[in-house]
Amino acid sequence: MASSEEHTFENEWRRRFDDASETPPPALWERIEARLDEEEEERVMVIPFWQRTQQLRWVAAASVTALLLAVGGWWLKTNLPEKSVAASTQLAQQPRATETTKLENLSVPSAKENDPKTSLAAKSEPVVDEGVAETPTKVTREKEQVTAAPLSGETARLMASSSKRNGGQKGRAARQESKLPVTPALISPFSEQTIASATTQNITPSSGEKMNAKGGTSAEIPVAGFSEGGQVAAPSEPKVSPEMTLAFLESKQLRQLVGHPKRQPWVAVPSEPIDFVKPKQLPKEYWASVGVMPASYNAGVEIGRRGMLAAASNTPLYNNLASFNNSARTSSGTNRSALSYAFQWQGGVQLSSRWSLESGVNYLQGNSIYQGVNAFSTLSNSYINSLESAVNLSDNNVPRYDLATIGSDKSLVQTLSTTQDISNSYQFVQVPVQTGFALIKPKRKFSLWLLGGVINNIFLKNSFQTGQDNMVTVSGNDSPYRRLSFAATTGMRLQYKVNKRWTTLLSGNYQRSVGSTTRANAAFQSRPQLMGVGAGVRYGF
Amino acid sequence: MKDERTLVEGCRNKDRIAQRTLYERFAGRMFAVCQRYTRSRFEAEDVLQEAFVKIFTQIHTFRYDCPLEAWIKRIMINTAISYLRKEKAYLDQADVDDYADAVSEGETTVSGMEYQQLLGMVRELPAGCQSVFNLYAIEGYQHNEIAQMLGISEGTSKSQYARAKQLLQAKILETNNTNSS
Repeated sequence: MASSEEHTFENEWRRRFDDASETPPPALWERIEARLDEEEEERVMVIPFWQRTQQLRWVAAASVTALLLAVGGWWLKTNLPEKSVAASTQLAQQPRATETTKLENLSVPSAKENDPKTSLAAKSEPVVDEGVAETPTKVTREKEQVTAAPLSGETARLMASSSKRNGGQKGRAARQESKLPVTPALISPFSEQTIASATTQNITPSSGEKMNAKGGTSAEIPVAGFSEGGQVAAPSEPKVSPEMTLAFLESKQLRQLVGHPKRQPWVAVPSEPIDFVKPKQLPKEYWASVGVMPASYNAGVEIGRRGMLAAASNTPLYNNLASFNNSARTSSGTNRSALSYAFQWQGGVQLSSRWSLESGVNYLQGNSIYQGVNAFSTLSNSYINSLESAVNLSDNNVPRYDLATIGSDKSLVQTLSTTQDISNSYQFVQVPVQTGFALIKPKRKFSLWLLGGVINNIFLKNSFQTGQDNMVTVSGNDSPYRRLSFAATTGMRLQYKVNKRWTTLLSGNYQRSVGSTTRANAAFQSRPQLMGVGAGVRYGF
Repeated sequence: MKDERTLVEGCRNKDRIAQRTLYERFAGRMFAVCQRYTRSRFEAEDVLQEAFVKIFTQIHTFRYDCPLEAWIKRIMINTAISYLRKEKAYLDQADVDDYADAVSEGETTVSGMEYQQLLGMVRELPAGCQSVFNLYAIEGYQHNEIAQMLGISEGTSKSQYARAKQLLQAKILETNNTNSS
């Protein structure tokens, strides 16, 4: 009885409520529509054709792989000549080979006659290098333009959404209108960058060959050509022809892309300026991170004309030899990068959903090898000379490097002249100041950031080994290195948010020194560059 | 049915007209559902808005394995429950033994009563009771399902329902007596 009664009770109520209908207020639909607009706007983001996070993961993985391949390729490229160099070194060790080298050197007119030619040769080298140096500058400029486009789009969006907050309905109209300029502006830059990073490896070899072809016929040229190629290849990588980008986009059929808004209504923006309220004030998020970055560091040492003169005057005993070797030396010095690493302690603030400002302290241990392939004697190598004189001048406790002893020991000179591999180890404290722009906003687990900024390199010391077990350390104010030098840095960082506080980071980083890290009066110039892939963790406050 | 499919496909493509059509088709009935679960019209509007945004953003998860209306209603109810949870409406959960077997006496039929009157009665129920009553009596869920949905024990669900029923019957009696006198 009770159950049937209960049954009746429920049925009665159910009947009365089942078909019930109440008209909601008409404004409710508009509120829903506004919310949908907001959601869609966030979805469209930078890359409208990647809508699902599933796909995003693949894209992120692909870009990281491309980055790793690029770094790997560059690494291989810079290390590949090692074999050929080793072979030539071995040859040089045999007396006959040394003889040949000597003959080549001697075939150059004597010191005095040689002077103008030497200066020519010295001139020609910087010219090549200026060309080389220009390439990355161009690239950076392109990148700046690229990032400028999303910036303006973003500003428009922020302004529009802020006006919405204040002005209700009118604001919504404004935001809708802002959609149109934002979307096309955002599509192309990102895709261009993606393609650039994806096609990097293909571009590398050709430039190397080109440089190689440029070289003349003398024995040392292939080595020099190769190394220059290696240097050139890395900075010129991100170049991509606009045709490629277009072709890529056309094949995607833009109109059919999932996130591409089909309806793009143009609504008049209220002419009266509404009180400008800060858009959607996200609480500023602060974070701190630690990381380690294995890197490939190339010191980019180059003996300048001043260096040669200094070398000649610094070594009275071997003055003639030094002069003989002038022309050979200028073209034979090559730099090889070696495995290096950096420890990074950084902090930052997320200014908006897209922008962040970051700084911190890095400890960089940069290893690089300077190879003077054709130098006849150690003492004629102005790079070494300059470093040595710095050591001998300085008052620190490093063991003094006795030039005279080595100079008098002929066998030692002989050995040094053939191997000439100077392993350099640099230590810097770096203070980076950089901004981050979110290509994929940190709304969900993954986010992708484009980074750019300046690094202040504080020189600590430079230790080098000259083939014998002589370890020399250069530091302090008397060293040829500037205490403070600057480098431009750019990179990409993939972030995975583990939980509310912790985020894991994977980043690719490229640094290039702005100008020489040596003093103006130093006998050589050093323009280091670094490429690394780092990993780290971050804690958000 | 084909019409419904077209509508869903339109919504999936984020066609604003399709979205509006779907909204207009179901908004009235769904607003009534929201009214039952909340305490004020204002709250009901909030829930309705939230639920429709969810519906449009999650429409791609609809697999046609149930009527569209049932799917929409489920989202409404879930949204309402989360809303109430956020508002901490379940804080006054009653103990199991408090309202064990409430038996009503007299005429408790609702046949002669206005919809608005009934809605008012449901809304006056204590928060926990209101949801359990809606889920059990109107939606037809079992107590174990309700317990899962609300994150309470099955016993609590039963006792809450018993209390709700007792309170409603008392209110009906009271209203009937007032009307007859």
